Amino acid sequence: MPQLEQVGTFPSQVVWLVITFVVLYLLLWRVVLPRISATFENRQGRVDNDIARAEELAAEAEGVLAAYEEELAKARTAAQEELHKAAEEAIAESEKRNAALTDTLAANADAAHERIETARKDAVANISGMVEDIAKQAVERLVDTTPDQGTVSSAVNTALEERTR
Amino acid sequence: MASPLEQFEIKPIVPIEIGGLDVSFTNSSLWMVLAVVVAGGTLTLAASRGAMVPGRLQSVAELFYEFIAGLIKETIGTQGRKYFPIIFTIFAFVLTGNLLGMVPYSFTFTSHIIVTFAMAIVIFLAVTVLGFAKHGMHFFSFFVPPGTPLIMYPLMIPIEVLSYLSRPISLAVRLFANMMAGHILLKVIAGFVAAMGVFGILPLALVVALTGLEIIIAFLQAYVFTILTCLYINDALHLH
Repeated sequence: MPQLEQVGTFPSQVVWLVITFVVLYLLLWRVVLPRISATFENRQGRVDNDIARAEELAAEAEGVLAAYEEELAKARTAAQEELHKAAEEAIAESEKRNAALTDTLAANADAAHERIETARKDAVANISGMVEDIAKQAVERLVDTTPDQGTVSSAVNTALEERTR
Repeated sequence: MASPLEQFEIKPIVPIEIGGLDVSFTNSSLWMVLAVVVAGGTLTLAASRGAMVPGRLQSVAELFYEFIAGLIKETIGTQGRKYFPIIFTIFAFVLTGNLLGMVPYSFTFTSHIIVTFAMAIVIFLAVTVLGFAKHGMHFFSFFVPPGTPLIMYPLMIPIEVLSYLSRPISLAVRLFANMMAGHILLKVIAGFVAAMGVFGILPLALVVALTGLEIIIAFLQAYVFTILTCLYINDALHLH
C-alpha cells in the first residue's frame, strides 16, 4: 500500500497540504466569505427596504383613500343641501304662485259677483217700471180706479224684493 | 494488469529538497494545488457577482455557505460564528479533493493517511488547546461523564481519555479508508470489464453505478469530517 510504504513522501505531502490549505483558507476567509455574507446582507437590506417602502406606500394610499372618502362625503352632503334648498325654493315658489293665483281668482270672482249684482239690480230696476205700469193698468181694468203711484211703487218693490231674493 | 494500488503511488514532478528534507512537488501536491484553484476559483467567481438574484454559480456558493453556517449553528451554536472560515475551508478542501479524485486519471490526495492524519491531528491539537484556553484545568472534567459514581472513576477516566485520544485516528482513518476503498473497488471492477469480454457490460454497469455512489461518498465523507470537527469544537467550548 503506497500510503504506508512511501514514508519518504510524507514530509512533501504534509508541506504541500499546509501550503495549499493555508492559501485556500486565506482566500476564503479574506475574500470569498465576506463577499457572500455582504451579498446576503445587501439582499436582506434590500428586502427590508422594499418592505418598508411598500408599507409606506400602503399607508399613503390609505391616506389618499380616506381623503377621497371624506371629500366624497362632503360633496354628497353639499349636494344633499343643494337639493334640499332647491326643493324648498321650488315649494316656496309654487306656494307663492298658488297664493297669487288664488288672489287673482278671488278678485275675479268678486268682480264677477259685483257685475252679477249690478246686472241683477239693473234688471230689477228695469223690470220694476214695467211691472208698475202693468200693475196700474191691471188695477184700472179690474177695479176701474187709478191707483196712487206711490202705493203701486211700494207694493211692486216689496213684491220684487221678495221674488228676486 | 496494473495493481489497483498503483493509483495511490506518489510520483515526484519537481524534485525539491530543503535542508535534507524531500519536499518535492508531486502528483499529490499538483492535485492539492488544483483543488485550491478549483474551489477557490469557483467560489471567488461565484461570490464576486454579488447579484440580488443569484445565478446558478452564485446559488451554489450561497447554498454551501448557508449549509455550513447551519451546520455550525446546530452543532456549536452562535459561539461557532468565529470558526466559520476555518470550518468552511476544511469542508471545501476535503470535498474538492474527494470530487477531483473522481476525475479519471486524477489523484485523490484525501486517500492518503498522512494527509488526513495531518489534518486530523491539527484539528485535535487545536481543539484541545481551545478547550484548555476556555476552561483551564477544569477541561479535565470532560473525561468524567456527568453522573458517574465515584467508584467508577478508575474505569471511566481511562476509557474517556482513550476515546478522546483516538479521535484524530478515527477522524483520519475514516476519510482515508473510505476514499481508498472506493477507488480500489472501482479499479478492481473496472479490471473485470476488459477481462470478461462481451460480458464485461455487467461490471461496466456496476462501475457506472459505483461511480455515482463514490460521488455521494465524496460529499458524505467531507460532510462527516466537517461535522465531527464542529462537534469536537463544541465539546471544547461546552464540555459535555
